[in-house]
Amino acid sequence: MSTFLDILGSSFIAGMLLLMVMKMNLFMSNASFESDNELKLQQNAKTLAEILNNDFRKIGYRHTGTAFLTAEKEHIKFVGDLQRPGESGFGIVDTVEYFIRDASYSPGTTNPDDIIMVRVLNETDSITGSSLGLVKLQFNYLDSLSIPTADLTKIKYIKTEFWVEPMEQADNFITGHQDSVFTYWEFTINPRNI
Amino acid sequence: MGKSSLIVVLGLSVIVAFFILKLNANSKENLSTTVNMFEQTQARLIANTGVEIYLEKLYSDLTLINTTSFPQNLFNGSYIVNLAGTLPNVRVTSTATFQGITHTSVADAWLEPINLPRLPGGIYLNTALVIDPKEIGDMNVSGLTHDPSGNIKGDGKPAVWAVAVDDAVQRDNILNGLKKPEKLTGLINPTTGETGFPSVGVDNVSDEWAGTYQYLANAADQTFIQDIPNGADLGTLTNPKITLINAAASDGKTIMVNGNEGAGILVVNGNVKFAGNFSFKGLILCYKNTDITFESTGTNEVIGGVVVAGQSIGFKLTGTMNVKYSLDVLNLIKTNLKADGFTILSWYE
Repeated sequence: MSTFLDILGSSFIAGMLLLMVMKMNLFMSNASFESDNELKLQQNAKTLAEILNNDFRKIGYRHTGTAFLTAEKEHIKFVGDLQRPGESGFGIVDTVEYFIRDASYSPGTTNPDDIIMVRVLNETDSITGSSLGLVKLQFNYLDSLSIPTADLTKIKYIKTEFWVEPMEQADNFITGHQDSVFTYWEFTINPRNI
Repeated sequence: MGKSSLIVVLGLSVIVAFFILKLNANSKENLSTTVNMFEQTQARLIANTGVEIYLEKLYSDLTLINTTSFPQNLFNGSYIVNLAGTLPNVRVTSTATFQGITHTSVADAWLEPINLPRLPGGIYLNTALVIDPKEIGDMNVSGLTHDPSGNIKGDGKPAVWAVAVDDAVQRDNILNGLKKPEKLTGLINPTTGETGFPSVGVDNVSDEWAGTYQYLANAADQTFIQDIPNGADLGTLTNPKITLINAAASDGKTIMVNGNEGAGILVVNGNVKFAGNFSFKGLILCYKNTDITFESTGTNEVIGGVVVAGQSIGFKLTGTMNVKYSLDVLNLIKTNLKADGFTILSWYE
């Protein structure tokens, strides 16, 4: 009898242990997935910021006259030499355009909201890449007094805001449905050549 | 049973340890991403600062053109600047390093020459406040053309007004209060070019001068906020200087200039007293709130011109004050002054 009770007790404990291990495994998998997602989120946001930052600082470089061709909420087009002295292509003023494509252009991700930022260089070379989790991008144009302006000749600052979510959404065990954390990035650039 | 427990505990510990290590690695990578952005920004700022610093250095010492600096430390990073080109054009290439991140900024700049607007009179009153006519009348002001030695060239033509003002009210105010009209000689008829006295006329070039005052003050080669001793270098015609006498910034709010001579542009702000005979070739620019006193009983002389552009300006004379208009001197000043400073033409960052 006592042997039977020992077997029963130990089986119960073993079962409890097994359940704990399985739960811990589930938790670890999920936490690991979320952690990876957040890391990718941050890296993607930084990559987007670097791309815009790099180009926007060259607006109007080696160009006389108005450097902006288009200045809309989700669409910007400008001229400026992107190459520095000594680099191949220096001396040729480039035309750079940014606009966005809706979520239908990023079918490869599970996030239904992500959009594509398109960079077009010199009207031909179009880089559309992956969405990098971008869900919203907008530009605001400010004059020398930091007042919003639509006058292309008066733009002195470009305030860029964008929102990035992970490309793969994670299960939220609290709300019971998939959702995402997001990151918001804002920067204002005063191109020195305008 | 004991061994089994040990195996289970050790196994779980290993799994948890790996899990924590992974989370920790992600956290570290996250931080690294943020820090990298900061490092890039910092490297860019250091490079840009290097450009600014070396443009100022080049302005002070033009022989630095076509040289490369030694590594300079700044904000826990460092930068090296190359100054290349043929003056007045220069290309400044600044390469900065911060925490292993390198950034290069390139600026093209132009050494802008001094831009002096036209001077319409020996003394040009570009001020809302009308100066006491007696103060003007106490001076000998000539709008005739003089050579750099102060001698009238030929018949003194083409001449300008001895005193030029911005509007007819100012002109009439001065003319009505003049005790000795013959002291103001120069242009009396702008149509025919006839000269004579009293030469007080309206010629408003305030817009041209408006942006110049502060610009010249900012471009000063030297600034005095204490008394200027005899023998101080206020420039020569071949090496003129922009000198800012900022008495308003001095402790006693008054600066004494002891028996000196100089050439260039003298920008005066505040109460300035000239003791001893003072001789200056070029332009005296009185701006903001200025009170100029010539205390010597001898002869003070300005060959070139005087611009009065403050909100409250006064002149007090003990001896004689001669103002002789000289286009030759003004042109020499413009030619020989090194520049107003560098103007940035383009900036790559």
